Amino acid sequence: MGTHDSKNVRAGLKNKLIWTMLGVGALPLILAMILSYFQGTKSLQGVIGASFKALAYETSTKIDLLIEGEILAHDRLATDPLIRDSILKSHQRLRFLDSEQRAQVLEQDKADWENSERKTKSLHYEETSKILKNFLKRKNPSALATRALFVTDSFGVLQGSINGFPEFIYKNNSVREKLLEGEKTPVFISSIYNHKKSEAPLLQFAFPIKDKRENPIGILHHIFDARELFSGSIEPITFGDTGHVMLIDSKGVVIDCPILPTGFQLADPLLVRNVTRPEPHWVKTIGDGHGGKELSIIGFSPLSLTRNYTSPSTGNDWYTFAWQSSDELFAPMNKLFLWISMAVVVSVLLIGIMGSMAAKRIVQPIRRLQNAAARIGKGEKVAPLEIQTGDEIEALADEVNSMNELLQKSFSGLENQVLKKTKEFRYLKEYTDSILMSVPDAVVIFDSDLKIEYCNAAFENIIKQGSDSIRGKDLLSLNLNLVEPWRVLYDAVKNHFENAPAVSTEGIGDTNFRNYMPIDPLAPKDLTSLQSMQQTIRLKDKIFAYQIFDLILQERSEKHVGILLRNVTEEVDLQDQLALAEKLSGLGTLTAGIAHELNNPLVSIMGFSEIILDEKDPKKVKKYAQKVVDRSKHMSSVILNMSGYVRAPSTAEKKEVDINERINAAIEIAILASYSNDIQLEKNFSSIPPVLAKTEEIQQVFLNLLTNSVQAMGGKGKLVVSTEAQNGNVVATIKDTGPGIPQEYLSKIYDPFFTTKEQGKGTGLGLNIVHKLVVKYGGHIDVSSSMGVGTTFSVMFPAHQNDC
Amino acid sequence: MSFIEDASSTKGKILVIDDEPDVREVLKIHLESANFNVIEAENGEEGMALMKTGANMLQVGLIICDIRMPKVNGIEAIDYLKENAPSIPIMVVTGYPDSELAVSLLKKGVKDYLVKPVEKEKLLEKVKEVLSSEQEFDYV
Repeated sequence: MGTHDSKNVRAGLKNKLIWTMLGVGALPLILAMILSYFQGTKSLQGVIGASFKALAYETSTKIDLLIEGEILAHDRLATDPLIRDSILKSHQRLRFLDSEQRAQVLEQDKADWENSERKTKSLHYEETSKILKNFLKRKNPSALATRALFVTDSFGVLQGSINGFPEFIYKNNSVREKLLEGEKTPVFISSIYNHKKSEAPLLQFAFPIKDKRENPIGILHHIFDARELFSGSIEPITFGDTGHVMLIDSKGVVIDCPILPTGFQLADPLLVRNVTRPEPHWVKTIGDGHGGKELSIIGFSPLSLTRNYTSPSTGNDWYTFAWQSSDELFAPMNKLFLWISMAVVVSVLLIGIMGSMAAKRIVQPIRRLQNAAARIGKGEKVAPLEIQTGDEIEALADEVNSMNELLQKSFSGLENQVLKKTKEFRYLKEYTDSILMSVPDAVVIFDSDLKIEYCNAAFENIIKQGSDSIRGKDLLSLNLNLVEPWRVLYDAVKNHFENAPAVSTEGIGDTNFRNYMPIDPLAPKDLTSLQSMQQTIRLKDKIFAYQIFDLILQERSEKHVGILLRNVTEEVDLQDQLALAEKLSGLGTLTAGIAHELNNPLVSIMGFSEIILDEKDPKKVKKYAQKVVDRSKHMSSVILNMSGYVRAPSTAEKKEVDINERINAAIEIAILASYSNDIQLEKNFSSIPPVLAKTEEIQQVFLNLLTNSVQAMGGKGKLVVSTEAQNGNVVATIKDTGPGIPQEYLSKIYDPFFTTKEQGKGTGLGLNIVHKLVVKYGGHIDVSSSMGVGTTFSVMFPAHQNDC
Repeated sequence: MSFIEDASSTKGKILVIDDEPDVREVLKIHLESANFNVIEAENGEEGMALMKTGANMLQVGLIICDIRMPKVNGIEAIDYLKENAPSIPIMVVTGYPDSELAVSLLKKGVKDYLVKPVEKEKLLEKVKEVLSSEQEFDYV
């Protein structure tokens, strides 16, 4: 563990503790505060809404009463007898006329009216106007807001006015229809409308004038400036900076508002629909009808009394509408939010500070523990920790103390052990190293890429290079003077790598000593020479035998191969001497053979001589003496025959030998020697490569074989000699038509002194010599024979490769 | 001496195995001159066949054998005889002087190993020596 990591870890625990405390303490607090904020906001909205509603309701009631009062006053005015009489008088002139005449009369009256310039007004007109003017002397808002007050009869003819308005005939048919015809409503209240002459939006009230039989005979018209009429009831009601009440009709047309002009059409139909419900209530809406688009709280209330008049008149209802701008309305809520946020921040800070202090208290001893543990881990000697927190940490510290103690104890034990083992290991390594370094044989280990992985001092000596420059190279890249021998070695290792069979310990049985057989001293001995193994390389004047072995390293699955190189120069010299000795031993065998061959006739000669000494019968003496003579002659012939073998020269050097040429020479000698002309000879020679050998020895092989064949045929028969090249070998076949060799003799024919020839005619060495020579040159000899048909010998020699 | 001479005719026969007729003849004349009854075989095979005929297994008191012979040679013949008639003593008379072979044959139970040519006196002396020694019976 690096210092950087441990620092991170130290900060981690404290932070974790603080964060945990914050999580546990602050999170519920924040949640509760948020909850209370929302709950508070909701309640506050409810309270505001309710108070707005109450305000709207109160205002609506007030206006209802205002309108109710006006209606009552006008009803009383309408029943004034002077006004009624004035209308009746006017009616008397017109009532009996048909409509056409009435129109002419009214046309005339109108022309008179216009020409008279209101100076020739009838008396009843003046009276009615006076009554109307008196009515306006009342001190109430309606009087001030009045723009016109006049009376018309049922034909629309003006019967009196406070200010000469309107024209002679008032032609508002809708008012007449509502009051005099059809429904006959008691009061008509118009919608807000704009008169052409006066700029202000106007509102018309109309009341029917009835005769004594309650028949409507005229109409009392009162036209107000709408704003002036209601402003006294509505505009004083304000709260805060923007809070106010307004009066609208159900189509969203403003009747009175401190801010908006009368007659203004509220743009938002949804808002209008929301605030024109039949019962007083409050709503939350988006948009306030005054241009704002924020959330607004609006209280509203219908004018329930006035509805009875406006609804039949125009189908409109009137509503009050209490409202305050969003900014102002939500200011307390925002303040609440601010307070709660501040409380949250303060409490989180408090928890953080206190948590940090608490965490420090907890973490401090743990840090000390950690430091101590780290130092113990590094193997330093650490004094016992003194932590007295009275909790698990103290217990942990005690554990660490006892662990530390134990560790220090076992450490010192371990150190000794490690020292001891290291010493042993070093000794063993040096031991094995020095074995490998001091063995006289060179040892080289190759990895699977044939690169040198290890070599010992003996190898370094051979190639005169240090091990550093050897390792990692292969045999061919060592910059050696003699390339050829190393290539042989390299190829051998490579070949071993590619063809090596699985390592096996089987096969080394105890077959050698299973059956003991006394050896026929004349049986051929298999002497394996180092030369015949051919696993040697020659480096300058030294000869090295090499052996390739598999190296099994358990830890690594890769295959390793080693080479053991042994300087066998002396052995090879010895071997040459041995070869000579072998030759001499051949001579020894020969002398043994000679002994055998000569001792047998000697037995006869000696035995018969002894018999003759004791014999008195001259006939018998003569007979035995003759035998002595015969045996002596035989002995001399044996000695004569043997001289052929003994004189065989063996001094010549090896050279390339043409087998065909040698066979020709051998045939000549063999046939000459047979003193016979009855042998039919067939030669099937092919063009064959030469063989590297001593000329005389090759000739000896074929001479012996041919002599055998010629002798076997008894001088009569057919001899077929053929040669051919086969897979880099030279094969010569000699076929005769002799009597054949019995099956039981076939395994013995190469034994020395084995012969089927008559006593004295063969030494039994011919085929033995042939066999020895063929094997010497790495060749092979085969024989097949069938009785009465003939025998075939085929001899194979490896051809000499002169391309290298 | 006289005891052996007297008993020789009753003691039975000596089998001579050698491939040389002259050698057999010389040995026969020598042995007969000492009153031994001699039967001959030309090689190991014939010698073994001869031992199986008649009462030869009981009558033959000594076998004199050559080593180098065609067909079954002396060593094989000795192995066979030692297996089938272990109590009959065997003497080797051979033209081939080989001390290793001599030792191995003596270890096998061959009584003596003589190298040709053998003088008459020596032959008879050795034969009598062998015959006078205790016979080895394998009672098991």
